[in-house]
Amino acid sequence: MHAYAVPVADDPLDLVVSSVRIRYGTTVAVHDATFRARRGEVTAVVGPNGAGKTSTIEACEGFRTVDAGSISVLGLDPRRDRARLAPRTGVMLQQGGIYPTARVGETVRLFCALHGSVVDPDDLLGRLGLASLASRPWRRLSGGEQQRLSLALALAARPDVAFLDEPTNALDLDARAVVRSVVRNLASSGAIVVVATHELAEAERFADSVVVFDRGRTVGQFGMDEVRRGDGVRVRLDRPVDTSRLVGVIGDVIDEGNGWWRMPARSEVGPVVAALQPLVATGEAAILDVTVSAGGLESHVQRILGRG
Amino acid sequence: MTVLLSYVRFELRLLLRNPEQLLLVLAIPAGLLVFFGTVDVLPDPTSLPFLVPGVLSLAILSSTMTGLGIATGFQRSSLALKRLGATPLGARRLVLGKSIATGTVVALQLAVLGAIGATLGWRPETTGIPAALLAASLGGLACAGIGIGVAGRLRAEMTLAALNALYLVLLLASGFVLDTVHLPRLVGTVIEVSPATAMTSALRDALSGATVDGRDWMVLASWAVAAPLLAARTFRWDAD
Repeated sequence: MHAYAVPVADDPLDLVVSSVRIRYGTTVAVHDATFRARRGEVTAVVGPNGAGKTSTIEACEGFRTVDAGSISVLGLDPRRDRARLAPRTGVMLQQGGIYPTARVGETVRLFCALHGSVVDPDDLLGRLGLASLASRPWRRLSGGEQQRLSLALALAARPDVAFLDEPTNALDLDARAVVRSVVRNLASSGAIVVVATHELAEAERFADSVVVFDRGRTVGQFGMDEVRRGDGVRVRLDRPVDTSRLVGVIGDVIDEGNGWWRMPARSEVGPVVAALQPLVATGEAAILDVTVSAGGLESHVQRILGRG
Repeated sequence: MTVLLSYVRFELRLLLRNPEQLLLVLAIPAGLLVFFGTVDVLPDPTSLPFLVPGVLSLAILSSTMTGLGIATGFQRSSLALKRLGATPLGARRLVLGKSIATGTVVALQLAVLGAIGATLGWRPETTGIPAALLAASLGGLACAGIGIGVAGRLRAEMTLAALNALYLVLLLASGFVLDTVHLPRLVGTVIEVSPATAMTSALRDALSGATVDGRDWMVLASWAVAAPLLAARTFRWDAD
């Protein structure tokens, strides 16, 4: 049972991560990860370093086995059905992933060929602004150029599911705009797009849904429309409560995870606290914190992480 | 098939474009062959039937253990292997592709070095060629197993140092150009069970028309099975 509401959807072809646990030897890297990434949406995976994001995504890519729980990608098991998923999967690693002496053009051509030539390599080079760099080896590219090449390789599959690790890292403003557009177009084509990122300002611009990791657990998942709508009074309670009886008093009550509840219809603290008094008086819950939202993804995530 | 061919072409282009690789796999063996084949600086036996198979064996060691191992180490540390593993190429075709590319380079080496040897006056016994090819295949497999085994566990820089050091030791001690009878007894005993020494000895016997020593076949076959198996069991696709 999770402390936040996992988006419910019926599409069996979504990416569904359920109660996943991953260990390396005696170290548990992921205690409990649960989230859903829908087709046609960009799902941003955020959280501090070492929170379990990369391990979970690598399990979704089929690189790692899970010790408990399950992962379903396009209705398939990423480990067992790896051969069936690989042609439909685009992967962008955070760093490297390319032979240091390989040239841009030949690398893109190789990856297009490996994925059955469903994408024209010259077109791909043009879309990512790499055409003029086709004969340059990977090791002589700038950080931003390397990022764009890595993204190009993820697109060589014309993927149904794409895992992009820090795609806007080290990019200048123009390149960021190109990458945002590519990522949005990919989702528009119907693909599941999962983006691991530390850049919340960027995620706010391209994500539809956000999953928050902390200390090996997913501690929240919410839609960006919620953040954009985002204002209201937030209350942190010490335990889960049945909020249905509050709705009539203070309007919608949204579970944001980690004990936080948001009342988007309210902009003043007083009436909300007054409405919660019956719960406090009967010992059903205690109020730990109350804020009036400043809005924005960063403050939203900080609140969920308990640092807001 | 298209996937595999695309990958083999890519690997070969990278191999043949890399000056360090070319130096290692072709220039050094060819230089040794020409030098020792034309300048009388070594004690006997330095005749061409001794020298040419030794250099062929050294060339195979260069490509399969040192060249392949070092390249694999850097590809692993740059996460290129991991990334390729996520494509439809998959791990099996990746290994097969590397084997075909390396085998192609070895065939090229043997042709070039054999031609240089012939120019110097070497006349191998043609009836021994099938046995020589078998010895070269087993030796190549064994050396590739050692190279990939080291590359699959150590950091790229450590792989570079370790395989170059091993190459140097085997270059001097495995009878490529110096007979192992000159080695101290204990060192000689250890070095004789190395795949490089057994391959060199088998090539010399086969290409001079003699019967290959049963012990050499046993050493080669054991290494050819054990080294790749151990490498496969211990290999890590990720960088450390």
